[in-house]
Amino acid sequence: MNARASQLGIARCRACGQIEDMASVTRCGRCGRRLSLPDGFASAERSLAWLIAAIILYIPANLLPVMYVSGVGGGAESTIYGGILEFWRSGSLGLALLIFGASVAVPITKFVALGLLIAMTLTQSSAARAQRARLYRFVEFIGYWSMLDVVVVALTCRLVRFGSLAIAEPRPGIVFFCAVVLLTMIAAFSFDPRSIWVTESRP
Amino acid sequence: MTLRSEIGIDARAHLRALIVCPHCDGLFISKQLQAGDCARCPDCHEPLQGHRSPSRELVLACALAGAMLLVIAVASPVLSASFGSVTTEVNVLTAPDAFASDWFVLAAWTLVLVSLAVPLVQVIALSWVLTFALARRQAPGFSLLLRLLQVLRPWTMVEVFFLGTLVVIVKVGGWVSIGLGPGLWSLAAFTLLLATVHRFDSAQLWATQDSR
Repeated sequence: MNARASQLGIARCRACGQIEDMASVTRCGRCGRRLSLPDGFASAERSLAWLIAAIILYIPANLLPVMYVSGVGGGAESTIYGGILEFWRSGSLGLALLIFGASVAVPITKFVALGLLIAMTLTQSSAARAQRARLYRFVEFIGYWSMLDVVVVALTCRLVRFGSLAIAEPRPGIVFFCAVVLLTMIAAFSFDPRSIWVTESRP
Repeated sequence: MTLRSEIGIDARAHLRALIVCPHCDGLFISKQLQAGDCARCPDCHEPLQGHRSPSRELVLACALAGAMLLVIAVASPVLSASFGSVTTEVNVLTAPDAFASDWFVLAAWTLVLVSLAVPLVQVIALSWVLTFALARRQAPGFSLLLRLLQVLRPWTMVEVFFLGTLVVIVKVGGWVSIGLGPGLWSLAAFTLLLATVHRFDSAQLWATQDSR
């Protein structure tokens, strides 16, 4: 492994990328932003707090109904899993898999991957650093696709407004789900990937 | 500080020869690259040098076109649905209406921000900065706007919105007849333009500022 810039008191400005020597300046000479060295443990702990909040809200997001649809023959509420099963039963396997990926696989992958990254940073593990860096970039990339279900419920409820003939209304589960997506995104951005490479012992 | 003197970091001129990986904080000496070469961080494989960014002219064109496309997606329906004699319409601005009641507004505001406000601010701010950069001048608010662009970037979800409309066409199309509006095509085009906009390396704008 190569030297870390922070070991030498060198900082890269997070706003504009200028390289500065923290022995002589505290602010970036180009854009004026305050310079800081990576604060690995604090970032991992902040990220953990957001992640725990997301996992807690994921429970009502899955148990509560996300949408209510009524037609001439009566109405029914559906959960996220219910929506996936409905696509599956009606033969739209591709769509069932797409929604499953965005609403179930992506959040759970994020919980596991971020949990692993945070735990390995907090225990100062030196294992598989390059792979962890790649895992973090993957988590950053997949994060926002979970918003798919929120968009689908919004569009469906806005379109299906035909009075007593057919009507779709949102149910609280979708708000919890929306909050889960936001919280996991914030958790991912709170985590500083530079903390994967920290070698000093914990202060 | 023996390591410092070994590498010889004592003057600003030396700092210019250094590269710090933004992803893993690795410290490297910059190398002279041949045309077409690109460098990745040896530790974490983050792209560091010589990665091709679309030209400023192209990105400005895409950003301006993107702003107009978003206006179309607001002004005209993305999807419409007909059941008997009743027809309903939805576009990017009216979709969050579905969440108008009670504390559903959290989801409504999220949708307005990620599918409309953030992408719109993004393309307008980028157009502003690039217009001045192409005239070899620094835009008013340059530093603030570049910082804003960096913060907003992950919160643009027009692609997700577009994919959502495709799912709804299949889902709702089963019970009512669905019509595709001009807004749908403008969302599709915006998604394509955004890919180019996101490949733009805004660090080069800071570099131009250095040479002035």
